[in-house]
Amino acid sequence: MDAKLRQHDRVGVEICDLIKVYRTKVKDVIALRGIDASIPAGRAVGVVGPSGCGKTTLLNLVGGLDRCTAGSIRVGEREITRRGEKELARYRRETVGIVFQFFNLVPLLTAQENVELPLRMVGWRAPEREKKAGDLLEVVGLQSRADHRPDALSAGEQQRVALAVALANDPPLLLADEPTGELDSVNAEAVMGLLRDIVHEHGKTAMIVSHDPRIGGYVDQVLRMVDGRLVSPPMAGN
Amino acid sequence: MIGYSLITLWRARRRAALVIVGLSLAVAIVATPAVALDSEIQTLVRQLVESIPYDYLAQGFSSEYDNSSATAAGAQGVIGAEPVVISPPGLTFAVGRPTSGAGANLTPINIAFVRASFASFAGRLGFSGSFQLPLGTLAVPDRIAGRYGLGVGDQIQLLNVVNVCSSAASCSMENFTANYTIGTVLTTPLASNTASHLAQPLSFVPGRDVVFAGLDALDQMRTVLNLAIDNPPLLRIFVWADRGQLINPYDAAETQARVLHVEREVTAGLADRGFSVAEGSSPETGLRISDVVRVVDDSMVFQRGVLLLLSLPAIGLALVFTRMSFESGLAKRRHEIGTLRSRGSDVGMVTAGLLVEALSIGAVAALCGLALSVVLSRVFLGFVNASLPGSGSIPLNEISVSLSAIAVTIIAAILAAFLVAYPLVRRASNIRVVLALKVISPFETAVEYQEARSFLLTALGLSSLLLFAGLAGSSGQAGILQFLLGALLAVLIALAPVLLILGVARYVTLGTDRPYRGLARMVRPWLGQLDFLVAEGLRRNPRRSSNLAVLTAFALTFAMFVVSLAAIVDAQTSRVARTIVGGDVRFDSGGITAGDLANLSARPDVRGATVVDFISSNYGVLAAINGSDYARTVTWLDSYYFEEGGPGVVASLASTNGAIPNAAAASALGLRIGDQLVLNVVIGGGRTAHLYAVIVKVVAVVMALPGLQRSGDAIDFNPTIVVDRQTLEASGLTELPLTSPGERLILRTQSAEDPHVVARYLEDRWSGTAIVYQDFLESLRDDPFRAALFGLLYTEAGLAVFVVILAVASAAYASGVEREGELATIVSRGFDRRRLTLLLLGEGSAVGVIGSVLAIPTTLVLLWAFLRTEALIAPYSLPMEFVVPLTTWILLLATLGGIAIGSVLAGLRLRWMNLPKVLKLRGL
Repeated sequence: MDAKLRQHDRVGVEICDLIKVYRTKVKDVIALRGIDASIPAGRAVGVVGPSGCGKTTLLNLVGGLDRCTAGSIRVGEREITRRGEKELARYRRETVGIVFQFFNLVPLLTAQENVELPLRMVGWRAPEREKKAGDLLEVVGLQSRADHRPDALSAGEQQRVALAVALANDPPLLLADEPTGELDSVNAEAVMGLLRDIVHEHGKTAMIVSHDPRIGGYVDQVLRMVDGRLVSPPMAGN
Repeated sequence: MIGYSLITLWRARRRAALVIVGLSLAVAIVATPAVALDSEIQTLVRQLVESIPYDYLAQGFSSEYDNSSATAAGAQGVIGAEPVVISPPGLTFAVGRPTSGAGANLTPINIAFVRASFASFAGRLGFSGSFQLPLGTLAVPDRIAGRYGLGVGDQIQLLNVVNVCSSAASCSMENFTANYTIGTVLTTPLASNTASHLAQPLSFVPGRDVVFAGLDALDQMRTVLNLAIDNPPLLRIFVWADRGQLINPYDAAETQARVLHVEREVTAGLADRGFSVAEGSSPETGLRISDVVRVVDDSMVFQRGVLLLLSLPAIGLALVFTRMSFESGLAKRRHEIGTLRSRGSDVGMVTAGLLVEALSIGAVAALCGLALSVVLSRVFLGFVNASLPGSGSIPLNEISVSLSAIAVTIIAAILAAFLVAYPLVRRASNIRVVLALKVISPFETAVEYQEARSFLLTALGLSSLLLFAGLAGSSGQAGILQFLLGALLAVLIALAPVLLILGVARYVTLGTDRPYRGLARMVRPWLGQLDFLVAEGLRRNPRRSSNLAVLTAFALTFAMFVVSLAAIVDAQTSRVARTIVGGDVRFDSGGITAGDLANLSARPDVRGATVVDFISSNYGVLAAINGSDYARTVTWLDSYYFEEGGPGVVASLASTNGAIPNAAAASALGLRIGDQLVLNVVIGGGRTAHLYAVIVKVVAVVMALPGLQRSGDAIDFNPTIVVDRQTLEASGLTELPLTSPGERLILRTQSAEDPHVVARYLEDRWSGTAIVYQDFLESLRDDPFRAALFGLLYTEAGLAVFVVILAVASAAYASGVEREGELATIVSRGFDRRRLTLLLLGEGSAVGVIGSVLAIPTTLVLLWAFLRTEALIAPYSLPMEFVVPLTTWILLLATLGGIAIGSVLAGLRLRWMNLPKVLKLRGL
């Protein structure tokens, strides 16, 4: 595995007084009420909490998928909350890899092609692209299913492909939003184990949002959220 | 990312198919006017060229008839040459029966000396028959033969009166006569001037008064009749070229070059004989072949613009359909776009990728559209055009597509794809990433509907309509003001239906769901209580439903308008023909007595006959009729013509001493019904002049009356007053002082009889011109531009309907796909899956009905507006009548039927869906 994933500069995440308000016609919804948190470089943090507490909102903001109403997020040396869309897109390409609950694979592409997609975005040439994608699929144990489209893969296999996609550009920061939400317990353990191994062995910083009570066994630190706030000091993980 | 775009485009080619279809249709529709014009050009050129009887005329003094003709015929590009010697002008000949004595049945004629082979080309000069004329025989046109009751084998006498001088001081008029046998009676077209083709080089008498003799009889007849024909005579050689090689209807310069080339060839061949050669021209238009293509080409500039402009509605509909398909496709890919954005694609990269797909689709659509335009042109020319009245003259064209046309089409299609796709792509690419990732269903659960906007659109539309009505009611503008007013009205009436449809459609489809619920009940007999699913299906995708309703309304409005307009124009053409001719046959002549009229009426093929006498008076021309005869004969008399009063007054004109002035007379004299008028008619002149005062009472005012126009137009702008002949006789006017056009006979023939028979009889019996209604009507309809215009409009109306059916069917298909899960659930609960197609039938039909309800009043308003505008900008023609033919309603029902069938077919896949698989995928 080591030969296939190179070491990357580690980045930490600093979140300062983060506020997110969703404005609707009916009423304003305050999703985050001033989050302060710190994820040391090379550490994995789990974010837990009841449904609707703002976990996914927090992850979306750290991932550059959405914009905060107030506050700041620093990833490594980079402050991302004031960046333009073009810079955020570059941030998403080069710095962060996201694993989604519903996999978010492109249904028309094969597993191989899905993994190659981020590499195309940064201009990798075909031979190198294909090799890298193949290596990543081998890391997640799906090299034999490289030519299959997502609808031909099981949920667990799809999530593993999604993990390979997230790792394609060697991002120093890995985000996972309920990565095991659609999986059975066996597959969930497999995926979480894979995540843990990748994070620890390659020094990646990770934020994992989950309902899974076993999350503590896979991360260094657990943050608990309720109603848009961190409610307790970070709990030590396993 | 370009690679990614092309891969996904290929793999999702079915998704792109509808967009390609829409864009291909738009491309094909753009190409159709070009095809229409090509056909029109060919036909116009052919028509104009056909009126040119010969291509070249060589003239010179020679007795070498055969050698000279053979030399001319041997020139490159020439297919025939015939020599003719014509007796010189200024001589008077007479024809009469030998037994009837000198002076009886005398008619001035000319003699044309020809070869037997003249028969091959004589038809072009208006003569058909054999020219095999041994010595002592003549060929006589049917005019002369019919007039004098002559036939083949009969003898006629030719008389030449010549001033013969035995010495300088002693001259006397001498008669030279000879008897000849009629060898052939030549057929000439009815009421035609084709025989005057001979008059062109002759510069005198019409061809109907020409007799033909063999060239080898020239010397003998010259001697016997003392003909002043030179020796050698002035020989005229008519030369005919291969017109298929000579004329390129699309290239005036090339045609002129070819014509000049052949002329030089003929000239060179005959140069040593001293012949001069000139191009032939049409006696009707004066055009030569070298002029025809250029003249037609010049006239096409305006028509090109008009036809392209008239294609815009259909092009617009096809592009709207393309846009809808593209938008639907993008909606389905919103999650994919979110995924790309989440992986690091910025807005520009996503936009570029989607545009590459759109432009690729445009290129494919261009090629498909070109191929489709060839098919459409075949449909247009071979079916649509041929089925229109009077338009069968446009032949099936050979379609050729140049490289430049292909290049232009590809560029235009790509540009159209870009213009359609770009705003949609920008919007889709800019969507918030989290929103795009969350959206799994392509449903639009909310559309920002602003009632104020609907109200504003509707109000603007109504205002435009009211403004139009107000302006259209104004009259009296002249010249440039009238033109500007017409232009403004055209803009208003183009805007009004668009605004009204958009405004009302938005309210009906977005502002309330009552129409959906109401229309959903259409399928309640089959769906039972589940009819609410139909309304639900329409409501959950409000933008799509609204777009479909608007598309249906526009397409139906356009199609119904076209069909009705064609009927209105054709009805007006018939009305004009009926007004000008008055009956089945109209014959202007003189000398028709009461006895002649009685004899005519007694003919078994004549149903009725009436005579009109045109007389001068102090208040303009009087048209003297027998009111009851006229009313009985002219069955086309109806209230249309009457500005005041009604058709019933005509039959009783004598008993009421009535007078019916036309609008010009009524306006000039300020006449209304009930006004008394004293008409003064003067007979004679100078000391013998006698004034007759006729007192009449105005009983009606008319635009025109059938058959009573003095000019060749449907409306006579000179004051004319119709009175009964008995009223004039009662005032002492037994002898009528005729003025142009003199005396006119209007006939109705029996329904199964050929009117040409009695028309020919009239022309033979009296000197005059007979007009047959059917021929006249066909000549009005036989307008290549009109045929091209309506053929094009009909084709595009059909395309518009096709686009609508396709759009609704594809929307029904998409609706079925989107709701597969819930429909599977319903079926799993016990619903008969065969009835699922009825759900989509209900949705499609509801949209179709909404569109129809919007289209019907819009069409009627447009037709009314068209008629008002036409009356304003063309006040000098008969007003068009408001006609909505049955075909319009059939078209409407057919469209609704097509929508229903399309929706049912689109839903067929639901009947065979794999229930367990669908339920599993939906997490059940």
